[in-house]
Amino acid sequence: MSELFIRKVATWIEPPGDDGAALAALREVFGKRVARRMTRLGMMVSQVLKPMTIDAGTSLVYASTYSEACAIEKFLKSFPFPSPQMFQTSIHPSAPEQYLIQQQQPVGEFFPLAGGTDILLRALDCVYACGGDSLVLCGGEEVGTWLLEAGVSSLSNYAWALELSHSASDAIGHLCWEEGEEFSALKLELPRFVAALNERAPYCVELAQGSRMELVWSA
Amino acid sequence: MVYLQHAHCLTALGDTAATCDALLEGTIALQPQVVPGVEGEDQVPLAWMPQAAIGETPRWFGHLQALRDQLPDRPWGQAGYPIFVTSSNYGIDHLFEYCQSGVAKVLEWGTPHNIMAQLQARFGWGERMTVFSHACVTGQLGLLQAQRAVESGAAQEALVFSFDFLSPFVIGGFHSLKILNAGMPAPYHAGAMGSIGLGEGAAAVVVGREPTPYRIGGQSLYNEMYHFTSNAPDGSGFEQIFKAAAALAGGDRVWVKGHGTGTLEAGQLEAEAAARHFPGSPLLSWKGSIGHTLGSCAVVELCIAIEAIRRGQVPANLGAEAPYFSDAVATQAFAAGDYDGVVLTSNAFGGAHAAMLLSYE
Repeated sequence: MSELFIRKVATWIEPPGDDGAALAALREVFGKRVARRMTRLGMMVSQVLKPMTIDAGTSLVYASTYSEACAIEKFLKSFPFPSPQMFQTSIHPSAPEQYLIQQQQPVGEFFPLAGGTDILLRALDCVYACGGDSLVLCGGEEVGTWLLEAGVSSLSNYAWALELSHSASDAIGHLCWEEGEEFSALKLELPRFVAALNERAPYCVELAQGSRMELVWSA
Repeated sequence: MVYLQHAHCLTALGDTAATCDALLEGTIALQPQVVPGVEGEDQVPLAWMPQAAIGETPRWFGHLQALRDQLPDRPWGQAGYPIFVTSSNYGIDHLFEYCQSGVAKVLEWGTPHNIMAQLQARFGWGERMTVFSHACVTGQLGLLQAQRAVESGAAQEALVFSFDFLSPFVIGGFHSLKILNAGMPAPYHAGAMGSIGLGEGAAAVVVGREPTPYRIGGQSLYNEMYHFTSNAPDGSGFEQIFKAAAALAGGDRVWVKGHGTGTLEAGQLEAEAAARHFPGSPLLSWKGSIGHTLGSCAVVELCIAIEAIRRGQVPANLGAEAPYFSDAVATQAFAAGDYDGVVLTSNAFGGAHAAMLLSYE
């Protein structure tokens, strides 16, 4: 059983049916001049990374299945005159880089993951393997337009971040997980996991073949 | 201790052996070609691999199949045998194709997780697949996590599977940034103008605890976060990564396989940092021949380095001539046996840096 302790948590979830109001408010937080150069995912991820303690010794793990869907769409549509700005911002892992470059904040190790249903489990394994005691795990997704219609974009806008430690001191909760012998069989619904983070609610997935993951909050 | 158990790559020059042969002969795979998908007739240096579709698979799928066919027989992707898949572009060529044609079927290869599903189904691989994408240091992220998985006992052996293939998306993107232009790449050449060339590459590396002549002496990462597409002009990122690599190497005699794409600023900063931390060590890049194979470059070039060590002859820096940013640039092939190891570095957008020490007998 692998275990990591939670020191800080931050989430940004677009309320259902809000018709872009929350994103517009987020744009105001960054200011129009700065926001113009950012993607929606970049703004969401920046917002959840702000409370995290990040320094040059931090190991940062970022998980996004579809990454910069809107920038990819705009870059593709810019052909035959490809847009350098859209190319630059479309490149995974643009979202956390938008925040860290604004802050001029170097980090030691940075592991951006792509991938599908088990991306959370793989990201947890990745951050668990990192040494040191400054660990940040984050992720996010943004809704595309024509890529959404094609089924290759997230269905919702959200971002999340966890400051983690191998040590239990100052923990507000913990995550533990293990995989069964045959294969993982652990299909986690990331939006449900992020909702649990947002509500500080427990979350437990237990499946056949001994695979399980549990999110527990301290009293 | 973690050792390389298997290493095989494919480039525009052929398989590992053919690539090493060609590099030793000084062959340049890059050829000027018109930028596909964009307005105009601009030519840029590109190195494509042959068409290798199998049935209705992408034109490059046969290359992945060839790599898979040479792997040691293990339950890859299952308990004890994780796979770390590394690419900067995955199937982005299919998103471009979908955008142009509207044919939905191409999306079956259009995202990293769709490609993982295809590899699982076609190669019989299990679900323990970690998918990294961090531009041109991606390959080394897989190598580092594979090393950690074996060291911790979480894996008996770990597979790093890496590939990047060219497309209008990638070529048009680099061309729009004006770092891919008509000039041929001349790594570490102190000239008036720099340029890169793009190549295709794929590689598979297996790491494990069984001793072999090739030991991973350590790896290191550093991310400047100075600018999206530029390194910090003070060279602080190169300084950090070469300092870390020098600490790994101790007093060992090493040669340095740098990142060396052909851009001026990065080439100068890298050559100067290498000279500071590894005085007298030969510095070279093969990207002047095979091109920059993007997210796969760390794994592809590791395979070539191992083949060169096995043969005893290391191909020189290719595509450039004097003057150089450093006297250490290797202008001729040299004997691998004169050294204890090689430091291999990568550099990417975001000022990402990676280094590996490979020690050999």
